[in-house]
This record gives sequence, C-alpha cells and structure tokens, in this order.
Amino acid sequence: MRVLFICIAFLAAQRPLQAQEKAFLDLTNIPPKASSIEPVSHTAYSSGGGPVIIDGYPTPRKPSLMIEVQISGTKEYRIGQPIMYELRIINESTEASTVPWSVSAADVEEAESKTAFTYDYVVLTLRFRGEDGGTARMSDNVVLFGSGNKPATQLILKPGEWARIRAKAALRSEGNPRKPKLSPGSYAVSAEISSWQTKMLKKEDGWHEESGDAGPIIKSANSVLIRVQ
Amino acid sequence: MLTLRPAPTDPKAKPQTFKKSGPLNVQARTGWGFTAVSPLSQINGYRCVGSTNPTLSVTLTIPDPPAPGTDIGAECEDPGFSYQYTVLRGGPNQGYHYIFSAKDLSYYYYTIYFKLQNPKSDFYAAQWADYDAILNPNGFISGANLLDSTTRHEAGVIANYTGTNYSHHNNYVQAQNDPFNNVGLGLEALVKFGVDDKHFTDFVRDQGSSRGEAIKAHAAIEPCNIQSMFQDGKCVPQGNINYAPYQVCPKKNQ
Repeated sequence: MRVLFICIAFLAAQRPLQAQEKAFLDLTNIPPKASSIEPVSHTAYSSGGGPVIIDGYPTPRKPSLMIEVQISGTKEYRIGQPIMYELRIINESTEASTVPWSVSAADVEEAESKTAFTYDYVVLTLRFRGEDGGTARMSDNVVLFGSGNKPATQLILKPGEWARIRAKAALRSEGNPRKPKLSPGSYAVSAEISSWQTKMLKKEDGWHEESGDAGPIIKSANSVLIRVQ
Repeated sequence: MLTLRPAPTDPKAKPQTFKKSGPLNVQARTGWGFTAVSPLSQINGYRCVGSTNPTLSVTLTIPDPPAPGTDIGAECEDPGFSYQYTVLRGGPNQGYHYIFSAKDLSYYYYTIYFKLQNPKSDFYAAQWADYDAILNPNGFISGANLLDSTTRHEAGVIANYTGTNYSHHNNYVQAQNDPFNNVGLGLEALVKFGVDDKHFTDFVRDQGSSRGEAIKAHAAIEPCNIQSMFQDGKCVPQGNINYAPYQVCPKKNQ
C-alpha cells in the first residue's frame, strides 16, 4: 500500500502544472454598491493608443492577460434584448498579474480615513462589428475595482491561471438608450478590457478625481457571430 | 414642451400645453483643434514614455553599426491628451456628460544614427559620394547627403505639401490637420447621456484613440513607399549606403 501511494505521489509530481480556473464572478446577480464620493472635478488622461515607433526597431508590446468571449444560448437577438456572455481572462505571461475584482467602487474608497487615495479599475466592453464594417460598443456598467490597500478587491492570477466573468448587456449602443445604433444584420462580437487608475485628492472644496489609462487595451482573441433582428 | 397661459382677460381659462419641435443646430465651440507638434531630435536609445502611461513606453533604437535592412533613423510619436469633464445636473440637458477643456500631450521625437551625425566617424567616411545614376549606379551616397536625406525622411518639415513622399513628420502633420483625425476637434463634440463617469472616460478613450491611431497610421506611410533614407524629397536616389564591413573607397587606395 505504501509503495502504491509513493508511486502515485511520484507520478503526480511528474505531471506538469495544470492551468486552472482561479475565480468566477457572476455579475448578473451582484448589485454594485454606489460610490459615496461625488467629486467636484474630473480630469482624465488618455494616451491615444500609446506611442508608436516608426522605422528603427519596434518595441514589442504584449499584454500579459488574454481574454476570450463566449455568448451562451441563442445567437439571434432583438434590439433591447439582454445578451448573456462570459469572459475568460487568462494570464499568458510568465509573471503573476493582478486584476481588479470588486464590483463596487465603494469597496476601494478610503474617504473616511484619508485625504488622498488611489485605486484601479477595468471596464469590460463588447464590440460589435457589422457586415458593413461599422462598429458599436456596449459596456453596460461592467466595471471592476481594485486597490492595493484592499487586497480583498484584487485577484492575483498566476501564469496559466484564468478567471471567468459572467455578465449581461442589453443590446443597444453605449450611451443614449433612445438612439440604438445597431441595425438588423450579422455582427461579430468581441470583447475588450481597458485598464485605468484613479487618484482621489481631497481639497477644501471637496474631492478631485484624476483618472488615466493604465495599460494597453486588451482585445479578445476570438469573436462570436450573432444576428440582430 | 411649452406651457402657455391665456391672456389675463380670461382669468378662468386653464393653461394649455403645446408640444413644439424643430431642428436644433448646435455650433461647435472654437479653438479646440490640436496643432501638430514640431519634430524634436533625441539620442539613440531614447525612451518615448507614454504621454499618460509609462507602461506604454517604446524606445528609439538604431543598431550600431546599421546593416542592410535596418534603419539609420527612427521616430516615435504619441497623440496623448488630457481633458476635464462634467455631467449636467439640471436643465434640458440633464444627465449628459461633456468635456469642457482639453489639452494636447502629444510629441514627435526622432533620432538619427549617431555616426551619421559625425563627419569623422568611419560610417560617415565610408559614404564616398561616387554615385552617378548613369555612370555608376552602384556607387555610394555622400555622408552629408545621407544625413540630409535621413533627417528629411524622419522629420522633414515642408509647407503646403499634400503628398506622402516627403517625410514621416509631413505625413503626421497632414493627418493631424485632418478634422476627421484631429483629437481636439473630436473631443469637443463628445457627449454621452445616461452613463457613469467610468464609462464616459472609457468612451472618450475609445474615440480619442481611434483618431490617434489614424494619425499614427498615416504618419507611418513610408515616403516614396520605401525606407527612403537614400533618396531626396522627390524620391530621386542619391546613391547606395555603404554598410559595415565597409567597401574600401578605390580612390583612397590609389
């Protein structure tokens, strides 16, 4: 028996480490807690896609995370109908990567104890590319927050690990719900994650917010074909 | 919606409500267009830091010595921007996010192989200037001409030129001046109703980035359709480049 156990343990040790799912977040049934802060000013920075090298040696720039999108159920939708989708966020790099993992801004705020604090967030977006080449974005309030001062709000993905997020979005263009831009036709749906960092600073007149993009936009490696009626 | 009260002569009459609709023309605010920045020379190995984000940095790199297929000049650019926004809390446009000020953070840096900038260097001296389009088409360009052509290729500035053969910088300026690409003009028009702050900034990033990407793509068009450091601004070859190991100048051996 002891020999058998040793053999099994030996064989298990010989197997390479298997990639595995680290966490799952179902945003379809978690109501976010609203922020308790109403900033008096908003300043934002954007790199415009980041610097580019022309001629010379381009610097390779590869995000450490990769995402895949899946749409469950029907592939036929009407304007206004919710789409249930899942994103798989995979760490394909050789180093651990930290992902904001709280649905509520209130979880990362430190307004009661500090006059300045910083937090990260990511915005998940679906992008629809039509047969005519036109595109539309739809994010539908899927934002995840994280802070180094609040470890419970962060998810650490080791190399090979992934996390899944389930969310739903009503089929309309982002922004003005009165003017849906999507028209009937076939669309390739892909996903994007953009990373941000926000600095909050309290002055005499209230909180001032500064946000800047914190990395390249991660685009899904795949897309799913749907039909809008 | 208009609520009108009848004339005071009929105090018993009830106010009536009328719907009024019609076209509404909104004038764009002026002074929002970003101006193309001038090219600025940097050393080899210069780190082009992301204008808003250090993790997006790239490096200007010229190999030493350069070899056939590598470049003797390079440039980097970043159409970054910052802005301030607010959301209207009352009035007919309540719930709309809009930008009330914007700032251009973009830059255009370039570098030239350092030995090409030194007339006493072996690379510079190896450019013999024995090229003749008819009599010696295999000959080499002069060092001075190669320096001029490379600088022009990366950072040449010329007014009122609409082609894409002069320089990367000229291509950048053309794209920047196009209202469909100009980031500042794009930011001026952005409004969103019914979104939160996070989604508004993400929307602005998407819109600004798409314009920035268009500018970068146009700037990347190679003048004369090739890496034309050995050509003049009209795509006329000025001679070949003598790469290491250098061919020895026959005149110097005589």
